[in-house]
Amino acid sequence: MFELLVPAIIALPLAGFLFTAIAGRRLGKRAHLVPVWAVGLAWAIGMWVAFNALTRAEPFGDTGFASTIYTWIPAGSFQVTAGVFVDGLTACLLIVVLTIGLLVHVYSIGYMSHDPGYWRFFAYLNLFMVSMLLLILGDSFLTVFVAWELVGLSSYLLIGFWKHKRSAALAAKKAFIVNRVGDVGFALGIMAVFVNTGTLNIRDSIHVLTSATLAPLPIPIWVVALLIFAGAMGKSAQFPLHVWLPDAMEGPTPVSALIHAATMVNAGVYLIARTNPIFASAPDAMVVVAAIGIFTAILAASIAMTQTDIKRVLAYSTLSQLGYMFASLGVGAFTAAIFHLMTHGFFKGLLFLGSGSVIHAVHEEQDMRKMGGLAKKIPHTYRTMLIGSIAIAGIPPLAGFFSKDEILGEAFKLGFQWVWAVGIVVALMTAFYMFRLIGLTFWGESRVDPAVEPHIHESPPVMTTPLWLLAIPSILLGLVLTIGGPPLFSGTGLLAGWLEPVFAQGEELLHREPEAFQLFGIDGGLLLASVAVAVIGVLAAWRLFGVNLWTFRRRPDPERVRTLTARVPFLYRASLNKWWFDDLNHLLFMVIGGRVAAFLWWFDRRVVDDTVNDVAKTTVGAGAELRRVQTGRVQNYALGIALGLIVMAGSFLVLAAR
Amino acid sequence: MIRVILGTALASVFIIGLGLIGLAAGGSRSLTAYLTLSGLLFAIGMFGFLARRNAISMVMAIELMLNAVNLAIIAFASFNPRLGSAGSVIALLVMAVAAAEATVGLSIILAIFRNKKTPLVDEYDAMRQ
Repeated sequence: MFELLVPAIIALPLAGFLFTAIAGRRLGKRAHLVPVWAVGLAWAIGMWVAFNALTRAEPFGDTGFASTIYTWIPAGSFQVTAGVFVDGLTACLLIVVLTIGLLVHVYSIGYMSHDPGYWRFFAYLNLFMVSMLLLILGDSFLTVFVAWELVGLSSYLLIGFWKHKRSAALAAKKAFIVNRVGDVGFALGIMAVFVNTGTLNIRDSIHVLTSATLAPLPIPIWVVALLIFAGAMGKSAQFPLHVWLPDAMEGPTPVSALIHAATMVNAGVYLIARTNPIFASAPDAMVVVAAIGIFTAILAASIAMTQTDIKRVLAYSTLSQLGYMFASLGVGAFTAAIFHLMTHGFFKGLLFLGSGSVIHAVHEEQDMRKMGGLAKKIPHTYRTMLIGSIAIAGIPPLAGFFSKDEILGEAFKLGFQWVWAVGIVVALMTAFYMFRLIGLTFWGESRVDPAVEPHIHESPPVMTTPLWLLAIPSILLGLVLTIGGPPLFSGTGLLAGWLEPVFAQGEELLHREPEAFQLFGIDGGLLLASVAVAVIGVLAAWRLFGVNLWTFRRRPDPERVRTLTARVPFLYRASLNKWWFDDLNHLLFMVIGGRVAAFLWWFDRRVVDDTVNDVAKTTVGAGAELRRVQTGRVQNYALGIALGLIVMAGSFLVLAAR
Repeated sequence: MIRVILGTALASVFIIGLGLIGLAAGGSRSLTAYLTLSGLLFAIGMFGFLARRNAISMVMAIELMLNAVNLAIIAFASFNPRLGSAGSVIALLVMAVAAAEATVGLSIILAIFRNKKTPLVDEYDAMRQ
């Protein structure tokens, strides 16, 4: 039965995409029906599959369920099969991708209702769902790579959805090009895997790569790991390939929520989790992963603190949280990374959809300096976004607290105290910038354009319902997934139980011993530290952008903000200018790269082209001269023949006489 | 003009050279005498081909050259018993080819003449670029 059901999860959105792409133009405002129902049906099937996979029912068992659909490339000894594979990890991703995907589809019915490209938007969304599902369900590196490129394509199409807007078109191009850089690494990584193992099936190749009996590999395993990580860096926007994600906010907000917060950017995390034994066999590569992850986390968090565009704050926050996930993968806490991936998917999806609702309410204004005091006017959006913010800030018992605390705690206990130290600062920053966002948007005096002010309205139910539906997991997911105890090491939590077979090999390679949770020991202390920084961050933002703590009056303190930023002018400017990474890239690739390209162009024109042209000119000149020989007169040719005859006869006589 | 001078000079060299060889060989019933005659005929034919501008004359000159070659073949055949009747057969073959060549050549010349209204090959310069 599952041989049909699992491919059907991909086939349904594909059918929706094809139908909408062909017939959507004529459907007008009904264009959403087929795509939304296709994803809805896929969601139902996906939940059934995930349920069976997570309860380890037959045919999933401990090892997961693999089904070959057909042999894709049969070329002698090189065989690539197109197939699907479902285990606990895939099931976790299925839950995130399908649930958020479905809610975003529903939300888009309201958000995009006035857009002339209504049908096009839903066609693209379905295409994205196809690609993303293929990415998590594919069982060979090549299938995953195709899906990898397909999500890149649909991301490109959706960022540049408002193609008449120049900034959107440029942002789409930027995302595509920066992703290419990472994809080169991933493609090389796949080739390296094939050279090493002779197969592209993910499980088979990992088995070969990590089996101890094998002779030294042609390509060292840390190279393979780093190349795969390069691909993950591109898709998950890790430093230094992080520059595309904030610009990707030019796309419609549902796209930002679905692709650039909850699903596609998690592809890198998924990839590393999927290939965890490869990384576990290369501890040096894992340190690189951890370092880049935590560096991205603090870099992005520092930028998020001063941005004024509501979506950009969330984009940098996403970068920062993805950095957490990579740091977690790098220290070897794979389960914690997936835990954070799931909770983050839900609360960040919620925050983005909420920001879309805010933007909708104030008539496409994204600048937080022109908002303020919206709490009363759009209460549903305010409450759900507040829930999301508390969740991401890490206040117990909401979802973000559990997953973030897991990451930090694991990093500390596994001997990566520096990751923990940076991470705790990031946690402080996270709490601060999220409540700065809430404060600037919802609290204080209204700074909305007076012309727009009377028209501010709450979004229709089709948009607020998904918000509330996402708020539920944002509150409860952390609790639910840790039912039965803290999820890691002791291995008793629900999520840890789900993922235990997936990461067993990786943990074994890292020589992990399960460890008991000590509430009144080290774990308790770490937990307290996490909560403390979160509370400090929230209170600081509250004081500066919302309620005055001493008087308990709702009054933000812009004077104080100004004096504080004036005290650290360098840091402030650096954060505001995103640490000048866009300028650095401009200098490196546009200015210096442009000079090099100009020189190479000159070389090509003057040296290479001219050589070729001169050869041609010589030939033409020689021909022009030599054609005079061809007089067209018979007797001139006959004379030539006669002279030739004489020369031949003469030389014969001379030679014969000798 | 240069054609005529060169043709004349070449033919003269041939005729004088071959005449000298023939004289040196001496005797009426010697291969050399036949070959000398053959060479003379060939040289005359070649001169005619190079020097005459009339297409009909040039075909005639070709015939002369072919016959000179034929004479040489027959002479070799009669002086070298090992060749047997092979020489006569080749000579017959050459005659047949010569007849065919004359037919085709004359047809071509007639066709060109109808177009160009002249038998002079100097005027036939359509193949010049």
